[in-house]
Amino acid sequence: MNSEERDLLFESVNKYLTHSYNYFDFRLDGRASSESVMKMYKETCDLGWSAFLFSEEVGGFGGAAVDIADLFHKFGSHRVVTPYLESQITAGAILSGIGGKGSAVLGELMAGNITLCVLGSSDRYSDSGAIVLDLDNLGDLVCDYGAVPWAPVVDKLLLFASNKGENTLLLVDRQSSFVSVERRIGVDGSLVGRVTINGLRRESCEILAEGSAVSDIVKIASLKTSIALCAEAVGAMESLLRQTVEYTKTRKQFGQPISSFQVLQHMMANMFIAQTTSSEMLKGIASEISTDSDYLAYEREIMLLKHKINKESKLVRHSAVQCHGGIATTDELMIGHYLKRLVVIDNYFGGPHVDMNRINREAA
Amino acid sequence: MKIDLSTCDLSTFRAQIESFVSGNLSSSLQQAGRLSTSVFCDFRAMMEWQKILHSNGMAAPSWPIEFGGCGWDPERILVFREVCASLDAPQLTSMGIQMLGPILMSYGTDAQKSELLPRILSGEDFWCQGYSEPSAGSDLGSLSTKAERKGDFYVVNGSKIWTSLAHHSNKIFCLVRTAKERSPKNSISFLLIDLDTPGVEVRPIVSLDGAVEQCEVFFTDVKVPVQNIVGEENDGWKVALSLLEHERGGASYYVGLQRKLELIKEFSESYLVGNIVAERCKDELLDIEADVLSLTYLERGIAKSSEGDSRIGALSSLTKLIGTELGQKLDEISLSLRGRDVLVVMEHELDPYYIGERLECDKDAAAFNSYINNRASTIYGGTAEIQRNIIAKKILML
Ligand SMILES: Cc1cc2nc3c(=O)[nH]c(=O)nc-3n(C[C@H](O)[C@H](O)[C@H](O)COP(=O)(O)OP(=O)(O)OC[C@H]3O[C@@H](n4cnc5c(N)ncnc54)[C@H](O)[C@@H]3O)c2cc1C
Repeated sequence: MNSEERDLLFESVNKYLTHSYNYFDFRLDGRASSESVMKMYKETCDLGWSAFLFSEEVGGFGGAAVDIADLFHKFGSHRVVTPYLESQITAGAILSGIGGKGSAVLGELMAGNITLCVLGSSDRYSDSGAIVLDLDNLGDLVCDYGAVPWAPVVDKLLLFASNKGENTLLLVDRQSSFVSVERRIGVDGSLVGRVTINGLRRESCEILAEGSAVSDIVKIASLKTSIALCAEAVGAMESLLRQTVEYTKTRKQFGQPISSFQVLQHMMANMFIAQTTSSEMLKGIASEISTDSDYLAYEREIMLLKHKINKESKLVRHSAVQCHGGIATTDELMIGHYLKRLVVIDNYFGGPHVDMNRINREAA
Repeated sequence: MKIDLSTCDLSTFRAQIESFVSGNLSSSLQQAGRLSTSVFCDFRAMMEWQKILHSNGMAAPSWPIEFGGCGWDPERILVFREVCASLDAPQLTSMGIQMLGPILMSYGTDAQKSELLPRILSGEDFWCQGYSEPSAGSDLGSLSTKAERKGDFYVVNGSKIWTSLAHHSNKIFCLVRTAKERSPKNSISFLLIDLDTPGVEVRPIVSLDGAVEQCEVFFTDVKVPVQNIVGEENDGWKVALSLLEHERGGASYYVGLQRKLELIKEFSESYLVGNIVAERCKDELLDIEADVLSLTYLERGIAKSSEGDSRIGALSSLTKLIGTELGQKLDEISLSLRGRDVLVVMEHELDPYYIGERLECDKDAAAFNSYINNRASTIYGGTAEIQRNIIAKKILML
């Protein structure tokens, strides 16, 4: 895709998000239903947003880290409620990594006909561990995955398992009898399932991949997911800063705009520094990654970026609330909704401590 | 033999209070204390606990005996609060007992004292605080709700915002403008208003956690009898400020923080044993433990120092600032301890009267709601910035 086509695509993304999207119409803890979110998912896949997240080799027309980052930056600044991250990025990355057996499902995914999510370890503080099982002797394996975004509506589940010590990726129907999903609303307006697998059966899972390649495939998927999450956070931070600056210029106390108070000026200056350093780091790293193996080469950088963003997003979201005063603590303003999503982003892989631990353990 | 709680030694006192509280606290009341996600716990539980305390003469330990309090010295009052917190008793709301009560004792008429104080203790009256307005937040002195004297009545027009628990209240104490002057010093009055007077409308505000705690209150030609004024007409500003010191200072933040710290430690040491997150949080918790201990000494010292110390008012800004900011730090730690389970919106998990099964992963279920609700702790009662301004001006004399 040349730069002109890219500009055109983003023009349409902007247009769509500005005119057809409004957080309050899509948040599932409000009036919206998951059908409207899924309708938007399908609609935007038809507009090519999904194909833009994949390389030409697998049938897309984008797929570089900057492409993922730029689209998720928009999702962040508009607070878009969607299963794109789980389905297109994480599951999509795994399917495209597998190739072969994964291609058919990937085609359906890019067309927006199906959605998927990935189930790794059941530990709520971990993202990359596999569940341990023996496919030839499953017994009554019970696995409680806790909170899984969008699980109640996805069609398929991708299980990352360790089968007799060998890493394996299994494809399972969400509606299989041994999968139970308790439908809950997410604090970020999303849909969440508490997923339990009880009595998995051999004949109900399709083995998509096994062997030594699997762990790299899974790692790359988690690094792509990190890039998307960081970009979303940067978009949200940008909106928080912009809205805070605008509000303090209009809100008057003691006969003057509160933006004239030095304390608030300093807070906003700190927000600017936090947001700009995060966004530059993201852009810099993303621009150097185009192939899957680049992700592996940049593992440490990506994890450091996630760490940096956990820290700076906290400063930005807390200062945004503080500068607004009471009004920020209501459900009506966007400020609090960015805040909630940023907490979810912090905790996505188990939390800032887990991210830090991964740096020490995996990318030392 | 009946023990005199005001004169017995302190360890006997503590033991007595412990046996009283643990003997009277049902498990749902205890749940309510544990599951509370802001300074306000479950309303029903709070009122239930107030009734129990009241029937034992302990609804307002810090009030003098003549008004239905216990007349204990400051040390005993703190021990009482420590015991209540350590057993997860619901916290009573502060508007009546902690804020308005002392104000009526200092500025109220005899009729106001004898009529209103008993009703605060019994819970018959539930008060809310009508200070803030849409255009008067930090700059409270610029408030514009008007009260015009017409014969035996004031006619009140205007609106209040952020009025906590107004939807549960039957009465509101308000600051109103009774003269045109700009300076609040001689133009504001402190007025008591019945919420069921014609012309009053209460509209709830939905908070970030989806619950209603705050409201807007609108006044349209509301007729209030002149005897409902507290202090002199146009002299309400000093009443207002002395109340704010009770709001900020009277709370003993360390008591709640110690308990919160204990619960987080318990959670991470028993439930999350061997977990990497729990390991990492250890250092942070140690750090906060030291801060909480220093606040403990500070608040105990302030409680004991003489009433006449003119810095006490400003010191209440200091403890409010430290107490609320430490609380926010603890919330952040419990947030990371919840891992990705933080995503789920809590429903029955936060209801103290819920009797179904509670899941293992719902331990510390209040973490996320506490975190968002307590973002407000550095906003209400005067923002953290305003407290820093007060410290600069009143303590550092800048
Ligand atoms: C949960 C909650 C419960 C509440 N309960 C009650 C209640 O029961 N009754 C009641 O009357 N009120 C209540 N309040 C209102 C509370 O007292 C006000 O929100 C508070 O005083 C701040 O006012 P504001 O929200 O208008 O913010 P603003 O005053 O608009 O402040 C916005 C920002 O400007 C800053 N700022 C303002 N002036 C200065 C200055 N001079 N120097 C430096 N910085 C400044 C503030 O620190 C803040 O960061 C409650 C508020 C909340 C959030």
